[in-house]
Amino acid sequence: MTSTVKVDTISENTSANGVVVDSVTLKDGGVTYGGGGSVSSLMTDIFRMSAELTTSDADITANLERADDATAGKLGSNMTESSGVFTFPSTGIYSVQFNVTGKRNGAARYIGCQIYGTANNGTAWDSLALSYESIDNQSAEVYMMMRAEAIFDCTDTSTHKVKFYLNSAANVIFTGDTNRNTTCMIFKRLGDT
Amino acid sequence: MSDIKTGRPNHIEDYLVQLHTQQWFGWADSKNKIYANLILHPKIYDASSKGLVNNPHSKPSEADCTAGLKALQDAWDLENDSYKSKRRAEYPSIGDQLDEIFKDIDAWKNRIQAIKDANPKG
Repeated sequence: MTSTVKVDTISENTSANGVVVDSVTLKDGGVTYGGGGSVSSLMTDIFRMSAELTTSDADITANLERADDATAGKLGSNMTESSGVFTFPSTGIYSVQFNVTGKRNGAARYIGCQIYGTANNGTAWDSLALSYESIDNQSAEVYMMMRAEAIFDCTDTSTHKVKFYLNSAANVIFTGDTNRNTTCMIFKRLGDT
Repeated sequence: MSDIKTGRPNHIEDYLVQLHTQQWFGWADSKNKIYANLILHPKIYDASSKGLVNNPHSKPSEADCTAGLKALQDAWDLENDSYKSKRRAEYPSIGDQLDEIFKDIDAWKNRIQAIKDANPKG
């Protein structure tokens, strides 16, 4: 027999237990899945470098802005940024993605990008993800793109933060643009810690 | 940034980004990158100490930026839109040239000289 329940509100009967629907628990606005994992809120945010940067060894510490194109999407709470150090809006499991575009006229045997994380507000930093590219000498500017990605467990927003680092065998111009995402950082809250 | 299709510098940021390394400059209004909005960041990353230090650079004049961009454009034009680029496009590959030098060096000299004559300097 097929039947449909139509109500305006379903509330938990036992305080602190939430409402269970076929092994999915709904409680206080969050969802706990029967197969594991829970999500109390979602967020996505994206920052980008707004000006170009020449370096062979640098943290990105300036010229960062939230993507603000007319159709730029954003979901939930904001990341906050200070001198290139990013703070999460709430504890949780986050996807952190670092997309980098650069160019150089001349060879660079390696060009790297890394995501660094800290669990003690910057006293020590741990390399979480690393990606390498290279550029061959073609007697003209040659472009490259690379991406590093990490899943970050933020258990305390005051201590667990990330920053972004670039290095290369020779100076590379890493592109920054205020009108589109070239070198950019994407944050997505996947679920609860 | 420089013209993506040609690589020809077309903005003073192309000059600024080659003047010094690290994020020593920025824009008061990133949507309006004119000289009046050029700013210097008080701190920049120092690779040796792995931290921020006082920005040691000073703001270039608008004339410096304009002249610097023009110098980059002139250099690009010389490399990409002059006798040099035209000759480069016509020269055989290095491998083919070496092969021709081995087989008939006079024929190689004549070939190269003809390309130079067809695309004179100036």
